Amino acid sequence: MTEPASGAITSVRRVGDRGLLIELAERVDAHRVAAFVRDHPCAPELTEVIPAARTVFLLGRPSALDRIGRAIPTAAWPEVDERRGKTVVVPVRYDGPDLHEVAERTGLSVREVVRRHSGTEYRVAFFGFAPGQAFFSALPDVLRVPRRPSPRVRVPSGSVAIANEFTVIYPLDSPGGWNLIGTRAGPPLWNTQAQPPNAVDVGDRVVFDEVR
Amino acid sequence: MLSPGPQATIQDGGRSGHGHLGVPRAGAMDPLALSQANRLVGNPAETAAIEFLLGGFTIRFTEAASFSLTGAPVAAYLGPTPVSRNRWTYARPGDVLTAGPPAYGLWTYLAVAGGIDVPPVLSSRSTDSLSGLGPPPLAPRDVLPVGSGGGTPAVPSDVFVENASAGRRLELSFHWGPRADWFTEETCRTFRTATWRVSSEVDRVAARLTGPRLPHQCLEQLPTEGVHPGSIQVPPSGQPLVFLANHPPTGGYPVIGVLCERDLGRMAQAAPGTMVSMRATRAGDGTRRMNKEGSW
Repeated sequence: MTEPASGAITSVRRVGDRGLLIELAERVDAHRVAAFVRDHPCAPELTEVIPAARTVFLLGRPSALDRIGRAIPTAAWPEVDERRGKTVVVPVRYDGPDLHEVAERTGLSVREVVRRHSGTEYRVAFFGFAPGQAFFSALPDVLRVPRRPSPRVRVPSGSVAIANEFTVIYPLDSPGGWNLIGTRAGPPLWNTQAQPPNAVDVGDRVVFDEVR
Repeated sequence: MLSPGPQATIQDGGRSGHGHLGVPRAGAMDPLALSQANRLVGNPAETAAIEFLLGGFTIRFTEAASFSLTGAPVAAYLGPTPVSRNRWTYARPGDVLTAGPPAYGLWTYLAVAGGIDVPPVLSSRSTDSLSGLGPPPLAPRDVLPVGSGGGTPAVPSDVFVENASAGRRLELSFHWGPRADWFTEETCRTFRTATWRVSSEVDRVAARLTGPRLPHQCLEQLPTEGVHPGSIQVPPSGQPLVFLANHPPTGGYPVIGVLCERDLGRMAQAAPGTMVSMRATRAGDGTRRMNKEGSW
């Protein structure tokens, strides 16, 4: 199934010497447009394809940008196949320093927080903030708590954390303001020596499995 | 490494192709100087070399090696002997290379035949000073491996174009957009007619410019989007910053314009206090948008 793109693209703009910014209507999934771009015959002449909330940004040879820019407004791209992607099981030890506070704020018991967090199937929504940091959505409504009022100077890599509708695993030691509820107990999902470096990709499903 | 000076890192052509995973490109601040340094010692243009900021740099060769210095002109000595910039020089085991502060500019490159052979991370040996990927910044007592794949040192016959300049005033070309429409026409005029001063906050991420305030016309927030190297981003403070080699792959403040690629290294080499004026490459409303017929 394909859907014509008419109305899906708000604008296509050349940026600088080597950039193209494709702006999308609200209902369009940037990852579908990015997938279309990566399948385009000119894709090998691009150095970056960066889908974001409302845009897809390309860097590459100007001639390739012009050709893709001309193709985009009339393009048709495949529907996102909900069965696409793999399921990755991540073993987690629920031992985070904020676990009790999250339980207090949500009015649940610690056991119930763990049960709800590990009993949900998440999808990889996007990457950002730090290299390889995947954002998994969507956290059950009952677990949604805001970020901590003041961030920690150092969150150890492998920390499993929640804030608002997302849950994440810190890929590196970094500052961070999320609520830490556990620790990854298996191999890292982000490994710069692996090819690709990310064990999960956008659209994959992620399940957390409690390790005691 | 005996003394790295204020900052010395390993840099090559950068880590491109991973922006969608949140990975900055990094790489040399002055790519032209990096490629010239490499060509002098017979390396491919984007081979890893040492980039150092404002001199104060001392290193001992433990093995014989051909090396070259390019970029910001530093007074350099191999033992007691002055070293010519933009040439290759042969160092014997035990020779000590010292570099004083540059006469102008910020970033100097030391390339060694064979390249600096630290393990690559995501196919680059560059230190990413924003996210910590790649080798850490160089520290005293570090020992750096040199690769064996070097070619033959030579002096290229072409004239070297340099990004570091002694001028205290700089004119840089830029393209409007993609978010020039977030500013009034008057603010856009201010941006291209004002004289900007390079702030003393020097890092590999951005050059900060101080001058008249550039207020946003829109009050809503811009959703985060991918950015081009050389993007001139205007945060709510109204003081623009120009994204350099180690910029984040995405940004959340409107980009009023993007420096022309040929001027990016000149911006990177501009020392604090340099006065900068911005020249638009074409007049217009601030964006190059494709029309219905599919042309720009």
